[in-house]
Amino acid sequence: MIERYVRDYLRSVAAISNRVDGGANYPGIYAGNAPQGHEGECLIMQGINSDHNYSLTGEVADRESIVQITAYSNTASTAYSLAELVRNRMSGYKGMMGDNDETNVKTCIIQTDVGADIEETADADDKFIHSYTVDYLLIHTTPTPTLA
Amino acid sequence: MSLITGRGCTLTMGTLTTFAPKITQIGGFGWSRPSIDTSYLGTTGCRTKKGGDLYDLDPITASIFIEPDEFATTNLCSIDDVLYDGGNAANAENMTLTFSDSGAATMVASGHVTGFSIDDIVLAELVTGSFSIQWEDTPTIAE
Repeated sequence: MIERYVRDYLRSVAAISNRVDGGANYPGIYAGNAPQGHEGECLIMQGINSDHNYSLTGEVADRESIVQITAYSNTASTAYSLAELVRNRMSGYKGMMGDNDETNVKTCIIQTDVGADIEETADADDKFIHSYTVDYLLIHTTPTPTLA
Repeated sequence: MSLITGRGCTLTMGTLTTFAPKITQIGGFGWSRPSIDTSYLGTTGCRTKKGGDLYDLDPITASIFIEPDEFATTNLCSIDDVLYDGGNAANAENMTLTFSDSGAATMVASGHVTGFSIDDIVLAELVTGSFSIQWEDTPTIAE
């Protein structure tokens, strides 16, 4: 659930959370998908994969995860500027993440700068949604199984 | 008799029992001795051979995760302790390779550490390293 910890971390950054705030119940930074009813810019984060590490005696307490963060906006330039706000707080980050400091991020780097995309809104009203996507690689702590 | 994986296999020190880094791979061990050619002019068919008198023991290398705590000389798992004894190269001690299973098999002999190294330290990868040992005499093999 690293994407949830990333979400919580970004929600704690005022420069980002204030910009995407969609009002009550719509904080604008979501893990998985945006809730129906959100309007305006938003950030969506998806956990892409996670590699666990092992010694001969079992799993060790560090894993490597890739989280994809997509910034949505109504223009390409604003989608990019929102993605840049995220990059400013993610790329090179080292420290705790999660509302309750659930994981300790040892390092965070950009795995792939996927780039911009554009898609027409579902109701085909000639309006478009612009996005900018970046994949981040995080090495972070995880609880080790007790096997009990 | 049952087959096993590497899960639970260990390489442990007899004196410095607290040196227990997270080992990810143990390799390199083996026995070898020459086959001496006993062929002569009257030999027909294949060359004939005779085994040499002594085996040579290969060094054993363990790949490990490096943890900063292991560099603290006050830590019981200190790398300093496995390399040095009072400032001198560490003395020999029993070193045991254990094949974990319900009837664990062990190979143990007196040995010494021959090397310790840290792999390239790079961004976005866990820091790893290795240490190697050399058994000094015939290991005792037991189940």
